[in-house]
Amino acid sequence: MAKKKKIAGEGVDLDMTPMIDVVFQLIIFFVVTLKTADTINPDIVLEYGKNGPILKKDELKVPPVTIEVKRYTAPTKWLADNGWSLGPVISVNGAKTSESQLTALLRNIVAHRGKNVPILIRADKDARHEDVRKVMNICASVGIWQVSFLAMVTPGDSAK
Amino acid sequence: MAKEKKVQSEGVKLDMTPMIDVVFQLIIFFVVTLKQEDVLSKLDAMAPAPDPNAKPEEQENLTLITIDIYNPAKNAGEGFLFNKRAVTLKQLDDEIKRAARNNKNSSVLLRCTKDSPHSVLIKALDVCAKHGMTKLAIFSI
Repeated sequence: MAKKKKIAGEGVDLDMTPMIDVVFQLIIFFVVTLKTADTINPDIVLEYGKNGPILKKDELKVPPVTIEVKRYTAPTKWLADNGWSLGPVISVNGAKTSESQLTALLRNIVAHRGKNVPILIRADKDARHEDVRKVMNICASVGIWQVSFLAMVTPGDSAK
Repeated sequence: MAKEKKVQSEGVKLDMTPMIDVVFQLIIFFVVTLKQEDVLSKLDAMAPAPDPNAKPEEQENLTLITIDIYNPAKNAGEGFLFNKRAVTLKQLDDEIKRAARNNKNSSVLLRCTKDSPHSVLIKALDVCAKHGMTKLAIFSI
């Protein structure tokens, strides 16, 4: 009786399922956690102001420039009473700017896009008026008059 | 005796369990990491200079409302003075409502002290927006 010829590979059972599981999980993980650089300061807490017109950036004819103002306060009351403060921090697109840099930036924007660029001031509710005034004065000095303050209508997860 | 020919696909079972595992994991992941975006409103802070060609009779009807904004941590109250009288936010709302009923074109002058918190100004602007007062001017004192 002739012996049955053994077929190569017979009986080798490679289960691909766990590998596919892992690969899928990795792909999804990286796709979801892929995050472009933050353009907003997450420390800023806005005051509620539900009566103003709702901001819909898509509907604005000219893309706005958002300027953020935050004053980092003293960690303890004693330090605060003694005048300790980090002072105001002005930032544009998440990057801290000085007053002269902001002036140069806005001049550049006005030169390229005109004076109709809307400015949105995203100021922390604890920022002082003098901090916000600096930004308003800079806007006025370069001829931009469309300046608005941002307020919160409904909080998302970033609200503290 | 002829052997029965083995059908190729016989016995191949597709195990759905891992797929369901993965799908559940994905659903949970997306639900947990879903971030709701803030809905924001914008309150106008500056307006261009008034039209010099405006009719003089229109200007005559304008009344001026003054709201002083100060730091409530240093002085008593909630940080508002309506025509130099200390008021709460509720009282300010009532006063602006009354003023808006008389004339929505009245100019509202918001005078802020340097150390006044931005939140107080936003509250005052919000009240003005609520009652349709749009002629606003913000000054620093």
